[in-house]
Formats: sequence, structure tokens, C-alpha cells
Amino acid sequence: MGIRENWKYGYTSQKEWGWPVAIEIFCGGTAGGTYIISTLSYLVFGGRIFLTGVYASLVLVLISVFVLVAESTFLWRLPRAFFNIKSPLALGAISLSLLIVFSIGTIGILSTDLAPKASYVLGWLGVGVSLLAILYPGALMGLMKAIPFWSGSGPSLLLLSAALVSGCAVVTLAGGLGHLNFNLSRVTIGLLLIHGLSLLIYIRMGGKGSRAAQISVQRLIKGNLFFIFMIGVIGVGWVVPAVLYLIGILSSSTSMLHIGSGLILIGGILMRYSFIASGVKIPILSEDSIGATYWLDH
Amino acid sequence: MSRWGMVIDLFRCIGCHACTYACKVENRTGKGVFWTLVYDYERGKYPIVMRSFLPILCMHCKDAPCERVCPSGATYKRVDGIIAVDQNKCISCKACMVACPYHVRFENPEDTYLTMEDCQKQEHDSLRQPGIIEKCNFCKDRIEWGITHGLMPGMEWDANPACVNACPVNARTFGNLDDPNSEISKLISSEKGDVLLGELSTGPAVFYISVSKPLLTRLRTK
Amino acid sequence: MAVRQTLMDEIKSKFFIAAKDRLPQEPPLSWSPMGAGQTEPGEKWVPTYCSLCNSGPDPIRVHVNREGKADKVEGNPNFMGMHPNDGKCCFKAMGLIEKLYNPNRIKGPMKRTNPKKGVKEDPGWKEISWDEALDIVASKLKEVRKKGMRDETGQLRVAVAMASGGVGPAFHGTWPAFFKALGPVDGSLRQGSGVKCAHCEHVYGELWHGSFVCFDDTPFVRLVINFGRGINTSTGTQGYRRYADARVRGAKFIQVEPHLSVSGAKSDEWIPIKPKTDAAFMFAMIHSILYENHKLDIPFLKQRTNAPYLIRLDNGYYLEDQEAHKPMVWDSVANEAKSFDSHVQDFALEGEYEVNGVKTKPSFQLFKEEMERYKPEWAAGICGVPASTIRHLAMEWVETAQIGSTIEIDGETLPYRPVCINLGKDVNNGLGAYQAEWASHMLSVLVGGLEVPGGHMTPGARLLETPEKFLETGPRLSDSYGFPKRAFTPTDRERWQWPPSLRTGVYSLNPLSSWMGAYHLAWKTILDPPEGWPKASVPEVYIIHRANPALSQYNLETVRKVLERMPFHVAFAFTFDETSHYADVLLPEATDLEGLQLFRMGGPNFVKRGHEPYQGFHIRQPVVTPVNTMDITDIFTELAARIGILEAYNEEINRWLLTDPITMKLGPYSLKLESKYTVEEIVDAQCKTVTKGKFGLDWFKENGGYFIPYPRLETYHYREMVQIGLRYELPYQGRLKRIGDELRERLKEHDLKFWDKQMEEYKGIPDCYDFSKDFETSVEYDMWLICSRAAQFAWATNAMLPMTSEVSEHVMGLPQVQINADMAAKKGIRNGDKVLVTSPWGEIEAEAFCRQGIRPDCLVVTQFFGHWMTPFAKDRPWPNMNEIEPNDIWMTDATGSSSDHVKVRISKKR
Repeated sequence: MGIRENWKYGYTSQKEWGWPVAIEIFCGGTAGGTYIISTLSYLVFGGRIFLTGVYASLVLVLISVFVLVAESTFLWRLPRAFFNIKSPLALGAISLSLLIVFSIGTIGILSTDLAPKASYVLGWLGVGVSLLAILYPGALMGLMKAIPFWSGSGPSLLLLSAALVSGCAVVTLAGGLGHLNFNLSRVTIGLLLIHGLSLLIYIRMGGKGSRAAQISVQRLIKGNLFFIFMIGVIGVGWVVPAVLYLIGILSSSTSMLHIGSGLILIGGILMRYSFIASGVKIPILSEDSIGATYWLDH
Repeated sequence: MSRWGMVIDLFRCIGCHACTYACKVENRTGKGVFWTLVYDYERGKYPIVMRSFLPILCMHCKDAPCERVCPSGATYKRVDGIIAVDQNKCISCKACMVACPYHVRFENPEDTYLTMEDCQKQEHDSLRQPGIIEKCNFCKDRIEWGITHGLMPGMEWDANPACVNACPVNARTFGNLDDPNSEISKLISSEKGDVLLGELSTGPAVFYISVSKPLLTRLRTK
Repeated sequence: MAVRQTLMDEIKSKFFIAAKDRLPQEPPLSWSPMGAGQTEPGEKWVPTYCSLCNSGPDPIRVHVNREGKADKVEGNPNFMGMHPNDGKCCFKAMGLIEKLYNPNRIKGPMKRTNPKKGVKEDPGWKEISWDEALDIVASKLKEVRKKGMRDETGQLRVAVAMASGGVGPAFHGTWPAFFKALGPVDGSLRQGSGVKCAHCEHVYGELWHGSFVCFDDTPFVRLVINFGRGINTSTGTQGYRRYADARVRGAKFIQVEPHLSVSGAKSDEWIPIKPKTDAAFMFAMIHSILYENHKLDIPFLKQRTNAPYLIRLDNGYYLEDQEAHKPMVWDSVANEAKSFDSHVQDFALEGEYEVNGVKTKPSFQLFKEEMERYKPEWAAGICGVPASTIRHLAMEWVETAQIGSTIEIDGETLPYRPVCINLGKDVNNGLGAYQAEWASHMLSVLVGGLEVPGGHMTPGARLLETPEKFLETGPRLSDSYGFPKRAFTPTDRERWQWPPSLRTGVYSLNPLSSWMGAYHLAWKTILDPPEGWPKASVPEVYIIHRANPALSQYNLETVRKVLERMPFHVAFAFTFDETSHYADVLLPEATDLEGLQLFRMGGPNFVKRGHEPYQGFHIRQPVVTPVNTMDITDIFTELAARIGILEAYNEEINRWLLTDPITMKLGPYSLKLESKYTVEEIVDAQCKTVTKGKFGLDWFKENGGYFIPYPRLETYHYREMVQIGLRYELPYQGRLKRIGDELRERLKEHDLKFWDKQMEEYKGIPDCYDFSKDFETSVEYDMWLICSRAAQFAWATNAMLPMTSEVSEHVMGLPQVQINADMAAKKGIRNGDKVLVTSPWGEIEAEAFCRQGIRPDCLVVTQFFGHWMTPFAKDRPWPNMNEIEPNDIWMTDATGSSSDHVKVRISKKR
């Protein structure tokens, strides 16, 4: 249970969502990003769909769904997750499911060469549901008024840039360099920089927001999430990959790009987790209240 | 039409937890689950310290975040304003627990109290399934029973939520917020009832009075 | 004298309000049956009562579902407006379902097969039949009776203990009748009882105004100063609501105690006082009123107290007239001494007068002179409370008292003094308690606030005087001193007892009390008595009901050692517990929701809250009986039959329960002495007796009971005092002094020195000093460890109930030892750390709870836990300070009480 962790300061992090949810939204978002990057050439620039990327997207979304299902207490009730489409979570379930369908469909069309024109429609539909799969966690978090750090459209935009850069990283690792008719590595570093800046702006805005948002930020940059966020997300997941990509682009070193992509993905998971774990609720009592704590440990 | 609500008088409350216990008995909740509870807290620095009690329960918000995020529609708002949980629909995603600003949603545990097995009410056997996320429902069964039998919830013992009856100091009042002549409406008006975390605009149906009395430490209210 | 007899007859006819006369004979004709409640066909509500604390009983109802299982307890709304609980019940009552269905409860009689007794000894419990169990117990008691109830040392062979706080009588069935029939038994070997309760209030309250317990007149009070009293944790449903209403009405509450308790939380001010310095605080308030404020209720002092009584300066006794031996006063108009009840034009309160060569002063003069040295600055240095606070409080006291004001109640005009001081159990017990009690009463007396509306009140019955006087509130005939007539245990050479006939030594050492003495010393005198006190024998038979002295007496090691030595121990046991671990036979009697008893409630009573403007009778009845229990009344009846005392037993039942309240003759429903009756038959007879045949057991089972109004006017004993011309023996303790002088002589004759310190209390005007110094041991023990009550557990012996415990953990600091956060930081202790609390007598482990609402030099634990045998409770690490408290004479006051204070040190457990 443990919905409150420290009475003394009145600020409590949500505890219901942890690593499983982080992995789930990472995989779902990255699946969406991978699909988009893999089909971008074909849909916009007249190139080809990067099939391996679509496979990778399918694997990722299946992992995401697997984690969701594995976490569920009531397997036989899972179909109910689609029912309330007013809930971003239901939309998320729908989008992940459709992403599976469209990924399989895309793979099927490309592999069998049946109805090639359908791949265009399918591709755009896939991009649509990919965006949904990327954005739904942010939309869900944005509805949580109790957690100021998550409020608004910020989380969605952040997750979008994160998903796209993760998608680039997956495609790179899947051998997509050179297979797309745009310079993937440059796009990746560009997205990485945008994502990093978004993250920094988001943190800064959080730091100037309400007290609960400030506490969230403090936990990230100097609190119990310091190692995961500052070392993991910023260091390992952003600064180092950016440097590696620069080196890789300048020196045309594929291995640098691959290592950088791997680190981007590690940073991606850590970023989702730290974002979730840092969600601090608005306190009901003032900050300096002291209260009965004993039962909270049970 | 009714919109059920509650007024809690913080000046009266003595933190005895009779409401917490009565709710657990009435609703057969499991270990660690408190559909209503009382925060017992203090503030200040010795020797200028104030200690207060804050009973808290589901606010049955007009714009309930928990209802909004529930993917299965298990959390729903009734026509009488009560936010209820259909236990047959809950998939235990816990989005509602994360979304609730008042920390009043609980996962039913496997662990219940070790009592002789024959102390359970028969019709409650299927309630409180482990894993389901539930919360206070204003004792809707009691309200419905009361209305069926011609009793007015808030005025009659058998149609009141259990916590209202249990309070030895009459700190809780229950009634129809949509009726300007109900006791609860009059109290909110005359005593300037306040809500918790009003800045979130969730539209709670639970109001607090005597908030600004000097005996109380500062609450974060509207 | 003829005039006086006529006056007495007149008074009797008008004002005779013996409890027996006030028994409600008939329920109102308009009584309606049990409300339907939320039931479906096959379900039902069963009315019964809860008496888990001393504020009950409260009518409750229990829901029984279609399967015949009890599943919920609520207050009984049918009694709203009729009983002060207003249809509610508290937390503890709701836990009765948990108690009923506790899977750890003892499900049938058991006997011990391992004769060795000790903490680590397995009793080897074996289930036996009720027949066998009762035969074992009966044969033992029969054997004792044959030998004689007293052993060779003169001590009683049978010792008994039952629940304290007035809880016992609501559950003990025909216990009094059985033990009366059996023969004298020793009630000394108990748990906390008075010595851990409000002992001094019981003794002195009763001495001064017949008040076993004292309370404010909550519906009318405007200023309440609580020295540690937990009005919001230990006054029950009735009290909590009345105090809430009083707060809303604008009454001011000031809590003077070392930590910010639940009651302090609901007060306007919290004054953190050093432990055991409350008397100094109040003495300084008195000084301030006398010397700085000067507002006094002079007429009250002159007419209603012994303030004008002349005190001989040579020996400190009242100056008495030569013929009638009545105290004399100085008539300042006639300029001569007269007896107090003669025609006096004006009573002198001050001055010095010589009467027949004897120098005297009015007791008020002596009182004032004594109070001169107790300045607020003096008190501030002792209690740690600024002198300005003490002065301000004294001023507020006098201003709020509205001296001279009146109020109309039920058409009669009475003085109105809406101020009262309540003392908590540890202020009221042990060293300094008498002084605190005296001072709090004097503060009421100075403003005329004793036994008047708004003021310091009593439930109205005398308890300690003699057992025969229980519940009697007849006209308090004046003794020759003008005080309510009172019997004391003798201290003259011919009749004083030594060696003591009870293990507490109450008849010898506590002349103000006929039975309630130093319970902790009773345990000690068996092992290690003070010098000169003969070692008491171990009782041959020990019978205990709803009590656990192995957890709740001072110095648990002492208790365990004595329990080990008891050859035959019968426990009415609910679960295995720390005391029944030493028993030889376990008798699982029908508990709260299983037994049958009719109980009188309201009106004048002895331990409940006072001024109950209602009276009536209510049933406690079996709701369900899930295990093999037996009603305690049936147990006693069976035992009586087997022992051969059935006739005496039935005779006692007749006398106590089935006598016509008006004629005082055996009622038509009395028992035939030679027959055995079931509990249903006995209670049915009782129901018919109290309702004059109108309603029997069936009616009570259906409806629960009835209440009719008791006139509020009758709750103010001021009226009676005025009519009879009685006075309160305040400020001067003339009788106490005389008794003390005699007792001192007796002790000297027997060369007994252990009680010398206690004898210092026997003075005309008590002395006050810094009693906290008496607790100092060595410098390393720098912290005070004190105790507090929790509403969730007080008196209820419910620590083994899981849901109860879990909800109680929400109470700040309840499961832990509370420490000031800054002091904790200095000692390197953080919130949640495991700590060791050590005294010269032992060490306990607890978890630290760091807070601001506590004095830096204090630690607080709540209730007494530390279970090691009681199921579920033993798995919780909640502390018990009794493990590290001493049990000794030095911590005992003259009434035989002690208090939960010990100097300790605290350190983080490594």
C-alpha cells in the first residue's frame, strides 16, 4: 500500500507506478518512434519502408503489451481496458493494439507484396497510432492534477521527442543507417539535442512551479533520483551519446553511432522511470507538519 | 435530484478514529485499507505547537480525476454524485490511485483480518476482491436502503453513512448539497465551508467547517 | 434537640434521596420498541450495553445476520436524547465483534498440567469439561473454607482481582454475592486500580464532598483547566460529546501537561509543565488569588467551609466548645467565640483570638499565612512555567468564576461558578497528589465553585467509607464538626491493626479508605516488605477477572515472582495472557456480547461521570455464543452449590438485587435460598423487581432498557449542604491532623519507620515542595518517562484485536516512545530509530517518534503494552513502562497510591 512516504514534509511521491510502467511506456513509445522513423522515408520522402525497423517496432510494442498484461491482476478483464475511450489509458491500449496490427500489416504487405498501395494507407495509419502510443502516457499524466510536475502538455511533448530519438536509436541499431533517404545520424543528433533541451526547459519550468513541482525537480537533480536522472538520463542518456554521435558523424564511425544509440536507449528507460518516480503529489498538510507515521510502514 | 455531500466540523473532531473503525466494519475492508481516516498531525516548534485532526475520505468530486483516467469505466459517477467503483470492471491499473489528490483510493489486499470465518455478512462475500482498487462510496447501500424505506439520508440513522453515525461528537453531517434547505447546505453557507485542495478544481462534495479556528494548524484549502 | 429532630425529619421527608428511592420503578408508558434498523428478514438488532471503560455503560446494538452471526456493533439510536451517549458508541465498543470472534480466544475450560510456573514455562494447557473445571475450583475453595479464611499469619487465604475503573461491576454478574457468601477475601493483589488511577481524588474527594470522582459541570462550565486529565481520551462517548458541545458553546480549555496530548490538541492553550510539579503551580495560583487578586467568595467561605473555624495554635486541632465538642468560630460582631452552628452574626476569617487562655486563629488565617511563601516566581522555578502565566491563569480563574452570579435551573436559583480544575491520573496519584488535589479543591472553594452549577462536581455517591454505604446518597448527616458524617478506620490504640489484616495494609496505613489501598505494595510485601512490616503470605487461591496485573502493575518482575508462587490461580480468561499464563484453571466466561446482566445506569453513581440527568436500567444479553463459554453468574451459582454456600449466596442476591427499593423488604421475586437458579431466572427476577412486576427479562431483551429523567437539580449537592447546614472541610484538615497524630503514635509504638515520609501529609494545611526531586536517581537518568491514555485502549483489555490495533496506529506516537525532536537530534536519534529506554530498574526497547509537542526533558509512552503472551499483541513491539518502574514505599503517598513517573535515559539501539 504505502501511499505516503514521509509525513514530515507532507510531500509524497506516487508509489503505484514503478519500473514496470516505465518499461511499458518506454517500449510503447519507442515502438511508436521506431515505426515512424522506419516509415518516414517512404511516406514523406519517397523512399522505402525500413522493414527491420518495423519488425523492431513490433517486438517493442509486444514487449510493452506483455509487461502490461504481466502486471495485470485480472487477465480476463483486460479487454475492459478499451472501454472508456475518454481515458488516455484506454486510448493507449487501443493505440498499442492497433500498432501491433498495423506493424504486422505493414510487414505482411511488404513481405508478400500483396496490395502494395495499401502500405501507404497502412503506413499513415501506423504513424497515427504510433503518435497515439507515444503521446497517451503524457496525456494521462497531464490529467493528474494532483501531481503538478506532470500537469499540462509538457509530458506529452517531452515523451514525443524522447520517443522519436529512441526510435532513431533503434533504427540505427537495427542497421538502418544508409537505408533511409535522409541522414539518420544527423536527424538523431538533432532530435537528441531537441529532446535534451526540452528536458532542461521542462526541469527548469518545474523548478519554478508550485512547491510540489519544485520538490519533484529537487528529487531529480539532487535527491534520491539524482543518480538515475543526472548520471543516467542526462549523462549516459544525453551528453555521452551526443558526444559519441558528434564523433561518429565527424569521423564516420558507425560503432560510435551504435554505442551512442545504445546509450540513448538506456537513457530513455531511465528517463521514463525517473519521470514517473519523481511525481510528487500536492500535500494536503503544510510542509512542516509532523504526523503519525507508524502505520505507513505496513 | 440529490447530490450527496458531507460537512466535517474540524473544531469538533477529537481524532478518536471511531469513523475509521466503523467504516472498516461496515465495509469489511482489509488490512491497511482505510476508506476514511483521520490525519493526526502537529505543527510548530516547542513550546508553540498546535496539534490537529483532519478526517479525510473520498471527496466524490464533480470533476473526479479518478473517473477521468479509468480505462475500463469501473470508476463512475452516479446520478446522485457518488463516485462509485464497479468491482467487476476494475482491471487494477492503479491509474486512479495515482490520479487521486486525496490519497483515498486503496488496493484491496489479499490479507484480511484473522477472525473466525463465520463473522462475514453473506452478501459481502463477493465484495472487497483482492486487487480491486476501491474507496469510500458514502455507504451507498445504506443510502439506497434508507431511501427505499422512506428514510432521508443525513437525517435518519439507518440511511446515513456509517462514519456519520459513529462520530461521538457529531463532527460529520451528511445530506443533499442540491437542497438549499438541507442541514448540510445551511452549514456550508453559514459556516463558510471550505474544500481541500480547491485550487485543483476537482469540485469536492466534502466540505470542512471551522477551518480557520485558531486551534487548527494550517490546512491547504481554497 | 427536639427542634433538630423535627428539622431532620423534615429534611428526610423532603430531601431523602437515597439511591434506593431514586431507582426508576417504572418505564414510561410511551416506550417504543426497538427500532427496525437496517434489517432484512432473518436479521435482527440485539440491544445490549458496552462498559469497556469507566464512562459507560452505553447502550449499543449488535447486528446479527441471516446466518445468525454478529457482524456489527453500533450505538443504539433508540436512546438518542435519553442517554448522554446520544445513541453513539466509541471505537472500543465497535471492536466487540473482533473480540467475540477472536480465533485466539480460549474456547473451553482448561487446566494446567505443568506445575512449574514461569515466563518460559509452558503451562501444558489441557482442555477439560466445565464440570471438571468447576469441581477443581470448588474443591479448592471448600478446602480453604474448612481451614478458615485466614491463614496462620492472619492474612486472607483467598485473593481476588477484577477490572478497575468501574468496569468490573458491569461484567461480573453475581461476583459480589458469591464472595460475600464465601467469606472475606483480599482484594489487594490487583493491577493498576486506584494506585494507577485517580486515587487521591477518590480518597480526598470523598472525604471533602462525597465525591469518589470529580468532574466539571460540562453543560455549564466556561473555563476548564486540565492538569493532565484526558477529557478527550477517557471520558467516553458521553464526555467527548459534552466537551465538544462546550467548546462550540465557547468554553475555554487549558491543558497543563508535559506533552501535547489529544486533549491538549482540542484546548485553547497548552502549558507544558514539568512532571510532578502541578501542585506547585496550583499553590502559586492560590497565592496569587489571595495576595494579588483578592477576589474571593467570602459568603461561601464563611458559610460552607471550615474557613472560620478556630484552630488552636498549641496543637493544631479545632477549638471545640466544652459541652457539645463542636468547633468554634469567632463572631466578629458579638466579639466572642461561639460554636459554629449557633447564631453567628458574622464569621471572622482572619485575626488571632484568645479563647479561655488558648490562642487561636481562624483556619482561613492559617491558610493564608501558609500560602504566603508559594509565590508564582517560586513555582516558576519548579514547574518550568513562567510566573506571568501562572498569574494570568489565576486572574482568569477568578474573573471567569463570576463570584456572586446565579443561574436558574429547573425553577431554582443557584450560585453559578463556571470554572473547574480536573486532574489527570498521574497528577492525582503518588507524591504530590494530595497537595494537587487539595489545591484544586481550594481553588474551587475560594470562588465558591464546589458542587454548584458550572463548577466542580461529584457523581454523588460515597464509595470508600464502608461497603454498606455504596451508592447511598442519603442526607449527609452532619457529624459534630458540621462536615458530612464519615467513618474512618480506627487509629486508636485499642482498635488499630498491626500486623495488617490485608496485604495492602489499608486498614492500618490508610484510615481514610476502607478498602482501596496500596495495591502495588501488596505484591511487594509478599517478597520484600519494608522493615517492620511482616512478610505477607502468598494467597492460597487467586481468582482474577478482566485484569492483567502482569502487565499493568508497577515493576512487573515483582508481580511475576509472586504469581509464580501462587499455589492455585483461577483466571477468567479470554485469551492466554501474561497473568493467566500462571493460572491453574482457565474459565472462559461469557464475554461482553455473550453474558446476561441487568445494570443500573445514571443517577447518582460512584465512578461514572457526575450529574447524569437520567437514570434507568439496561440489559446486557447474549447475542451469539460461538465458543464453549459459561455465564459468570452461572459459574458462581455452580460453585456456590458445589461448595455448599448456595443459601448464603442466594441470600446475598436477594439482599443486593431483589429487595424492594422502598420497603427494603424482600421483594416478591426473591430467590428461594435452597434452589439453584440460572442466570436467566435471576435476571428475570431482577427485571421484575426494578419495574415492580411490569416488565420481565423478555421485555428487556426486546427493548434493551429504559431511562427516565433524573432531575438535574438533584445533581448539585450544594442544595443539600445548605439545607442540612453542612460544611466542606476545607481549607483546614482538622480531622486528618487528628487521625494523623494518632496514626503517628501507633507507628511509633510499633517502631515502624517506613511510613514516616507519608505521615508528613497529615497536617492542617499541606506543605508543597518540588516533588519532582523525589524521583531523581542519578545524573545519567536525565529524562522523565511518563504515560498517557489512548481512547482506543483505555480500560478495555483489547490489545489483542488486530483491526483495533491497526486503526490505533493512526494516533500520533501511540505505538512508540515520543521524544522532543530537538532533544532527539542532540542524542543522535532520528524518527523511527529503535531506542533503549533505561531506568535503574530495567530497560525497554521501543521505536522513537520525534515531535515538537513535548517537553525536551520528557518521554511519553501510551498505555501499557509489552505483551509477551497475549496472541497478536505479543508480536507488536509497543512498549510498557511498568517494566522499568520501581515498586517501593518511597514512591507511595499517604493514601497508598503511586504514579507512572520514572527518570530514565534514552539511547539509540546499536
